[in-house]
Amino acid sequence: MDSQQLHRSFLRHLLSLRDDCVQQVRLVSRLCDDALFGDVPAERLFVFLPDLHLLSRAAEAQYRYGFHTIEPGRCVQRQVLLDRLCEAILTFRQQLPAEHSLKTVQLGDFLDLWRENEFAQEDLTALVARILDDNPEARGRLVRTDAASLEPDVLLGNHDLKMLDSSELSHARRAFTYTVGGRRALLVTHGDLFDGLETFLDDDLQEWFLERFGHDVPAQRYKLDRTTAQSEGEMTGSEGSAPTVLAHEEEDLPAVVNIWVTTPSSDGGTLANSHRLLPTALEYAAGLRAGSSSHLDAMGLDSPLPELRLMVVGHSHQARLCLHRDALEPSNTLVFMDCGAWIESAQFGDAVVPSCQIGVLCGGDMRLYQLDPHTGLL
Amino acid sequence: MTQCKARRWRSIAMWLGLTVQPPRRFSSRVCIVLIGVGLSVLGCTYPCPRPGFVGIPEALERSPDFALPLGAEDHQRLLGFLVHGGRRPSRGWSPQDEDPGRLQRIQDTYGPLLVALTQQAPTPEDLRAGTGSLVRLFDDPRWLLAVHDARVETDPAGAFYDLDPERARGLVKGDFVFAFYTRRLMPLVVTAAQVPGLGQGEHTIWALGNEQAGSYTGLVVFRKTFALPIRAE
Repeated sequence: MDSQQLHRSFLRHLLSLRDDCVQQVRLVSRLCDDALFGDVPAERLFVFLPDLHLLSRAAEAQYRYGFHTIEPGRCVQRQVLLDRLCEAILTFRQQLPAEHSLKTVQLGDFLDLWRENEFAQEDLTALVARILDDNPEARGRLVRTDAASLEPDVLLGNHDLKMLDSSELSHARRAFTYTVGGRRALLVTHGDLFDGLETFLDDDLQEWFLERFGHDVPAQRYKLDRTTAQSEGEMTGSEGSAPTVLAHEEEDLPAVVNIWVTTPSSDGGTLANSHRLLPTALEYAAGLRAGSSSHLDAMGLDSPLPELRLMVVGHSHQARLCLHRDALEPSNTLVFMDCGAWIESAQFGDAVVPSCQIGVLCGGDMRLYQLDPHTGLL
Repeated sequence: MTQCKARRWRSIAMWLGLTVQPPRRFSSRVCIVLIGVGLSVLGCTYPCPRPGFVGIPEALERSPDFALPLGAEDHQRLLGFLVHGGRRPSRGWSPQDEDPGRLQRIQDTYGPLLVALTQQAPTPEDLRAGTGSLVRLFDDPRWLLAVHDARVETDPAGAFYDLDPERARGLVKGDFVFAFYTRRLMPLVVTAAQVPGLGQGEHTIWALGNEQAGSYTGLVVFRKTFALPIRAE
C-alpha cells in the first residue's frame, strides 16, 4: 500500500464513525509533499491526539469549560467520541498488512494538573489516579497496556509536567523523534517550549493564577479556516483550498488545503502570523539540527537532528499547518503541524463545533481532521 | 607548694591578660569531630547493610515474563523496557525511533548482558555467587537476592516457590533488578467455573511452566527501588 491508500483506508474508518458518534468529518488542513522526506515508501502511519486537559469531575465542575463541558450548562460527551475513535483506530491497525504499522502519539496536556484540586495528603500517583478514575475511557485507551489500548507514546505538556512523578504516566517524555524513510526527520513535542510566555513565567506561578482567577474564564473559539485570496506571484501567506467536509474516502482531495507559507525572508511578525509559536520553533529547529546542547537538553534529547523536517505539536489549541519553505537551502525547510485540541471550540465560517481534532501523517501527506460530535453527544 | 604558687601566678597572669590559657591536647570537641569523621570513613569504606531479598512489583512496574534464552522479539522488548526506564514500550516501538545517544547509553550498559541472555538459559553454575559467568555481568557478582513473588504461592509439593534461591534469584544491574526463575511464569485466563472461589467474569492467575532441570528459563525485570544502593562495593 502506498501513502494514499493508507490514508484512504484510515479515512474510511474515520467516516464509519458517522453512523455512531460523529456528525461529519472535516479536512481542516492538508499538505501533500512527497519530496519533503525524499519520496520514501510509506511504511508507517502516525496518528496524533492533541491536548485533552482531563480533570476529575469535581474539579471540572469548578470551571466554565473542559473536556466534557463547552460552556456552563452545556456538555459534550467527548469521552464517547474518544472511545469510539480509538476503537476505530485499533480496527484499522488490525487490518494493516504486516509491512505497515501504526504509531499513535498523545501530544501532551493529557491531564490538566494546573486546574485539578490538589489535596495535601495526595502524592502525584494519587492525583493522577483520581483524574483517570473519572475518565475510564481515556485510561483504558491511552494509558493501559493491553489489547484494548492504543498504547500511545505520551508527551509531557506544561499542564501535566508533574505527572512524570506518578506511577501510571511516568513514561511520558518532553519529546519523541521518529524515523521516516530511514531519516530522523520527525520531532514531536508539546510546543510549550516555543511559547515565550510559558518559558518566561514560572509554572507554579501560572498554576497559582489559574487556580485563583481561572474559574470564570470562558472558552475560546478558534477560527481554523485561514484561507484568503492570494495574489499572483505571492510566495507567502495563505495557500491551498478551504477546509472541506468529507463525504467519501475515495473523493479527490486537493494536495494543499488551508496552509500558511513563510520563507527565510519573512520578518518576525509574518512568522508569528503563520503561527505564534513558529519564530521560536524555527530557532529550535536550527539549534537541534546543529546539535546545540541547550536546545537538545530542553527537549530531553542526546543527539542532534540534522535531517529535521517536520515538527508536530499541540499546546495552542489552534489546528494549523504551516510551511516554512527555504528554496535556497531545502534542508532548512520545516513543516510545523499543530494538531489542535479536544477542548474549547473551532469555527468554520458560521459553524461553531466542539474541538475534536487529530493529526495524521503517512509518507509526505500530512492532514488535520476535525470530528464534529454527533448531536446525540451534545 | 611550689606547684600551687605557680598555678596561682599563672591564673593571675591570665586574668590580667599577660598570657593565654594553653590549649588542651585533645579537647572534647575535637574528639567528637574525629569520631564523626572516623565513622563516616568507615561507613563509606565498609559495605552498607543490604537487603537479602526483593519483591516483584505490580504489572505496571515490571517487564513481561520472558522465556530464556531470549528470542529476537523478546530481546527487543526487553531493550525497549530498559530504554523506557522500566516501563513496557508502547506498541510498535522500534529502536530506530530512539534518540541514538540514549540508545547507545543503554546498549553500553546492558548490551553484553542482553547478548548473553540470548545465547542460552543460565545454569546454576552461571548464577553462582562470585564465580558464575553470568553474575560477572552484574554490578556485584556476590550479591544475589532472594525473590519474593506474590503471584505464585506453593509448588505441587507444598513448598513455597519463591524465596528459594535455587528456584528464583535476583541480581542488580544499573537501575534494574533481573529476577531469574527456574520455571517461567505464565498468565492463564480462567473463570469461576474453572477455579472455584473466584468471582464472576475472567481472572488472570499465574501458572508455573515446566521446570527444566539445570537451567533458569524465566526472567522478569523491574526498576531497582530506593532501598537498594546504587552500586554495591
